[in-house]
Amino acid sequence: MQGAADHIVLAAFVIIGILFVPLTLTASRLLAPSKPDERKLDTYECGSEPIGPPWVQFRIGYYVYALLFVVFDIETVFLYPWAVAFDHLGLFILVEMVIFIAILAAGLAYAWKEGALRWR
Amino acid sequence: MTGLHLLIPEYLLLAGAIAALFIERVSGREGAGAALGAVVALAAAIAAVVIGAQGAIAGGMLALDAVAVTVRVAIAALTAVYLLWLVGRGMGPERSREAVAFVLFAALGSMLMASARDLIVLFISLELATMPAYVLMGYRRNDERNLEGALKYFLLSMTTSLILLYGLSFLFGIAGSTSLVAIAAAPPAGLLGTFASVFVFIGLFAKMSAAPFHFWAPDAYAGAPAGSVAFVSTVPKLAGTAVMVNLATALVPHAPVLPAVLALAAVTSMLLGNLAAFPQTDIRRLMAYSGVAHTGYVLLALSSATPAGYAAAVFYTIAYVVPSMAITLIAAEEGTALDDLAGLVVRRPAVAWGSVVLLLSLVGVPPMAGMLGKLFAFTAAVSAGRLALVIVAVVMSVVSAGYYFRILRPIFFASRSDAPVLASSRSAAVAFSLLVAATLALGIAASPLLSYLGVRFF
Repeated sequence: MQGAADHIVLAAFVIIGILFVPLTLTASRLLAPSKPDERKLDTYECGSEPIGPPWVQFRIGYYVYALLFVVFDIETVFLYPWAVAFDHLGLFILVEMVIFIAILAAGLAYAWKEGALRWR
Repeated sequence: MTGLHLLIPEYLLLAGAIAALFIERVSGREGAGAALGAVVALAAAIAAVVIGAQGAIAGGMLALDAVAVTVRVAIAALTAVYLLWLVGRGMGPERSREAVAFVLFAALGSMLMASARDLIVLFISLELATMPAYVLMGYRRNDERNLEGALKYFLLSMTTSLILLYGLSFLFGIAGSTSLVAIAAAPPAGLLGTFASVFVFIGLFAKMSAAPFHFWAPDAYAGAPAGSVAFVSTVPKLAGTAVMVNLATALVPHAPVLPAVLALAAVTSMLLGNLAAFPQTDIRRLMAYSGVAHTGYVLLALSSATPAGYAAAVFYTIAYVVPSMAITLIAAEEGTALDDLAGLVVRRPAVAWGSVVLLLSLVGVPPMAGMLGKLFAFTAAVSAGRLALVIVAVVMSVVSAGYYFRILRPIFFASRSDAPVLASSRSAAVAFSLLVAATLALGIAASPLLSYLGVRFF
């Protein structure tokens, strides 16, 4: 009956997950004091006073940086499990990893050479 | 991990793609990247011929059988010819070195697709083949119309990738393995097998622009530079046919309805593609609908679900993409409207007469490749008892002559005074001649290829 027990745990998890949000919201509504205030409706900006409207145009430069960040992000995703299991994997995977990083480095070098890293 | 040295053609393309990005800066010569890419792709084609059929690689994730080898060589060779053309003509106003890298990456993904025997490898190589295609289709990045076509292509291609992936996930559920061999050997899963297989094939139909999932193709092609269309509409289709062959082999036991689904898509594609091509005035749109029609003939051959039919589908795809690429390259040189071709016979007689060979092959006139391709496809379908479909196919081939001759009419019977003066380019001329020669050679001397595919029709 191991399977049935697993399903009960899963069902309990789902039900608690669904109930958690309405329960906590209701609890905070019942317990918290209610003092509406103009300033409480402001945009939350780390506690400081918001300046200007939120619909500003972001610099397109960020976009290139985000793309280049993904390069490193993916690299980490693959490097981490490799590092954890390094002792079992041996030379073949080491060579494969070096090739993988070399391909990513070539991409980064190209972006650099094309001036994508220059902040204009 | 055995047999990884058998992937030398793929390694060559990968190294070539990265080197192509840098070589122009290092050597300081425009077009050096394309030249390097053409040489690398040619070397990959030769290496693929030398390696030949070898069975399983990397624990059965990839396998090199006759279909995979044929398609692999065809992809590498066509890529080499395309890059040779690019050496001479470039990508119009944009620089071409990124295009070279993208073309090589797409060829690499296509070659892996053809030999993939594992669902995950299959999907990742499919994405590797299509991601560069998105960029190539939007290569003229300052042209709004171009970007619109590219966005349409991107969104619809992504959607169909997801449909395909959804189907593949059910296949994994049926077999408990991502290996196509294990999936083929798994006990039939009844309705679920049918459901999963149909989903997978709808995804593939959309990728191959088979009706009724073709609607993205004309818009996307008409927005894109004709030079990009010449590659994107041809080389990945070779891989698509190989994937459909591999998947059909594995899935027909699970989904007895699959041949009928293929036949249905075949008949709608043949009817819709051929009829909708008629009123087009843009060569790219016309070739998009022509592509829908030709995918219909490929599906007709596949729907027989016999080894002969699968081999016929592969041969047909090769016989169709070679002239199709050449015609689109003419459009990239001369202009994309039918009227732009006016008086071509006076300006460039060799190209004009070459295009006669190409278009007759697309119609299916002997002794060109297209005629043999149709003959084998129809033979396979008749022996599988699809006589009614073959009658439709024959009628539609005759109909297709009408719109292919619409391309010939301005070439021979019109004149144009404002034609752009095109610098002569030896490499572009060689590339075009090679495509025309291949169209003829595949028709006249097809038997070595067919006996390699393991099929004897007569």
